[in-house]
Amino acid sequence: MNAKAKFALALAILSLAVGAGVALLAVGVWSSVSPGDQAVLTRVLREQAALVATGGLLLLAGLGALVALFFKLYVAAPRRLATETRLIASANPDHRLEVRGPGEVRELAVAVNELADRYRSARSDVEGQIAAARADLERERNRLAALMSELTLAVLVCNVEGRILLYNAAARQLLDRPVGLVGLGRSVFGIVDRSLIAHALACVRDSSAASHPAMTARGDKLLRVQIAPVAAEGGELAGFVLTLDDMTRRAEISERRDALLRALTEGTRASLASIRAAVESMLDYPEMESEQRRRFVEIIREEATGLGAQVERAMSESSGYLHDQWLLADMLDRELLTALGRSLDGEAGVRASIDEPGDERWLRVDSFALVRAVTHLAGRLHAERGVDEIGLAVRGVGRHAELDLRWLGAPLDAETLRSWTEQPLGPGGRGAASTLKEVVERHGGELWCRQDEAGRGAYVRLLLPLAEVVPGPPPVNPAVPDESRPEFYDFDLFGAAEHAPAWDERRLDELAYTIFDTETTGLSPSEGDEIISIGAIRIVNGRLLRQETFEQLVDPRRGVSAASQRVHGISPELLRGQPTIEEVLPAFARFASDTVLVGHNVAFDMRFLQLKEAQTGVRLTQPVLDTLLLSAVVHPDHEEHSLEAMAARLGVSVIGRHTALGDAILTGEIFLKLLRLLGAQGVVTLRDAREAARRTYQARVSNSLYARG
Amino acid sequence: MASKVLIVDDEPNIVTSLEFLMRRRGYETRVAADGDLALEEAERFQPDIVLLDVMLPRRDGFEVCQQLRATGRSDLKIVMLTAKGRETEIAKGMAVGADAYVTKPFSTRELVDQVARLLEGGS
Repeated sequence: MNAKAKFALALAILSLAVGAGVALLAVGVWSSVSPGDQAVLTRVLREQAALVATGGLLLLAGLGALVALFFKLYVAAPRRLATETRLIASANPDHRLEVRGPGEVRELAVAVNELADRYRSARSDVEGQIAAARADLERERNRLAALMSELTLAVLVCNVEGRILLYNAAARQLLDRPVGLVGLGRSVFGIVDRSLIAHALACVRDSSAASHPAMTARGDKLLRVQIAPVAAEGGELAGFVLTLDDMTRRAEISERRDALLRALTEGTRASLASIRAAVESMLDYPEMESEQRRRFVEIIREEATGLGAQVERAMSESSGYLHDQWLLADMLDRELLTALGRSLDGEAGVRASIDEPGDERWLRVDSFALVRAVTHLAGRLHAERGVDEIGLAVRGVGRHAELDLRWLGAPLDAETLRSWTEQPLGPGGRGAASTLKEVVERHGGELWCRQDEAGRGAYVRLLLPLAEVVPGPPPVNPAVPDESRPEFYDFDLFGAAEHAPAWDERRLDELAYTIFDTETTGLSPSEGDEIISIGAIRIVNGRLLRQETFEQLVDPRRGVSAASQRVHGISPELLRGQPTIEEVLPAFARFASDTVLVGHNVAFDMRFLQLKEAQTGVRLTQPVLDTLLLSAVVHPDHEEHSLEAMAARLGVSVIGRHTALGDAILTGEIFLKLLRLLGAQGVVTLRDAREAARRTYQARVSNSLYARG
Repeated sequence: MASKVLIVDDEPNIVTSLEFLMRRRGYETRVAADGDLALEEAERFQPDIVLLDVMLPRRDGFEVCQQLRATGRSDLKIVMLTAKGRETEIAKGMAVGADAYVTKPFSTRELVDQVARLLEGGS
């Protein structure tokens, strides 16, 4: 009951009460006087009727005013206070109650204001803490994402079910063949054998090691997989981390090295056998005829020559991979000089001046060992020859680079240089190279010292191999703009339901979706129109994964109508040489496996795909949702359910329309908004959504029948 | 009657010495330069002992040895002569039925003694 009604009711009850009192008094007076007086009273009342009525009205008005005042002070004021208190609690914590009215009400207002102050400060404390925690988390996540994308090692993090929670660009580059295997929420067992992971995890459990290495082959690649378990609180397995390394090249090298070693030992043995047998025969049978002896001598000479050639061949072949090849990496000469300069300044106490090389060259070096070794040399020069300044320069000569250390003063004699190069480099070493000599040998290089051309100074020249191919940094996700943080991880999947219930029972917000769209040569699938492009994007855990897209043009093996070409702008030339639907559809099915298919007016696209079932052997059996029908569920009063109209209604910006991927992304953004609205309408599970959509579909069909009729 | 030795090796330089040594000891010798020829020659010549290289064209020494053991005479002696000196290879040679396994380079005297011992029925 509102205040006005209460006020009217109170006034009415009060008036009735006063009226009844007056009436009772009148009746009492009336009955207690004599009939004569009654007649007098009657006459007086009749003559003074106006006065009595006016008095009565005045009394009523007075009562009304009294009640109104009372209401204003003691009923309306608390109501106002309640409303405003609610405002403070919900919308505007800075609002304060006006302190006015009678004392009791003022006291209440002051008390509420005090409470509001406390509430505000508590709230801002909590908000600050939440914001700080969130910022921390965000920073950490960004750091993680940046770290992951920088790593050249492929990394995959999975939950205990084997679903991928995190991957980096290197993982995608190494493993995503065929495309669509690497993705958030996808099973890692499509990439790495399940039993291999189980075996490795068992090995870790049974040993003190933190991780277990294993080898696996994928296509023509040999991969080294390092598997480490991730424990949850309480110690049980929550998931595991895989790092993968392409060992193909290393394995090749080690294989070639083995083969070389085998050929060398076996070949040497065979030749030595021939020589030894010939020599021993001659020694044991000195009386043999001269023709036989001549043949043996000839054998010895021939085999000895062959041995020499074989060793020579082995040496030249092995120089490339007999060393610790993988410590060598390609490095720009300029960067090596910079590193050397810094180390000379800092470690050797020598001022380094660098001759900027004109054109850039890639060197194949173990930069760490090399810098350490050269710094050692500079340190000796400084300590024993008083050299304070060293010029550094690199020059390319044929397949080598000359790295020069120049100083003013006398050159080192061969004996001194040899002893310096054989001195241990000191602690902090890595691998086998512990002297400058070994470092140079491992590079297949040479080192000498000469007086310079002008005769005023000297230089030590280091000959280093140039890298054969000029490498560029691998392109890391060129399609991803920098400002968007790559969504390569989703740790919320750690808590994913262990056993997925049947599709229909699952909640819409925990399903994975593939939003897709096709472009076609025309609008009549049954009359020979064909798909010319498929674009798709995934939604996992309520997020549109912009890194996980599928986009492929398809050669329709027929013409494209001018009308549809105007829509999608794909010319027949673009389609020539593209894969055919027989190749594309299986790839798309892999990409969409284990997800609900979503499209706008999806029946059209599904019709095209279904017509290809027999030809491609691909049947998409998963559930399908249509954003057009879902829009009709959410907005039954709107007529217009085109992508543009929905985008406008839901506040989604429209860009990149009319490419299959562009439309898929737009549909995905719209779908995410629809999901929220569906939830508000109590459409929670996939079954709910499908049934609601079916009802609107029937409604639409009957409407259109009706419209046609 | 002189013992018959079949020398199986595709390297003429070692064959020269082996032939010389065997002839000097009064054995009758024949030579085969690959695995297939070795089996044919063993059939035709009926040697008492085979000096068998492991690395041969067409059919390697292990296979020839196995074949000889499967179809040949039980008293035939087989000496494997090879540059393959890994333990696993020696084990395989003995496993497929060689009487002796000699790695290159070898001492001619020891080889000749070993052949003589085997022909006399020792090992």
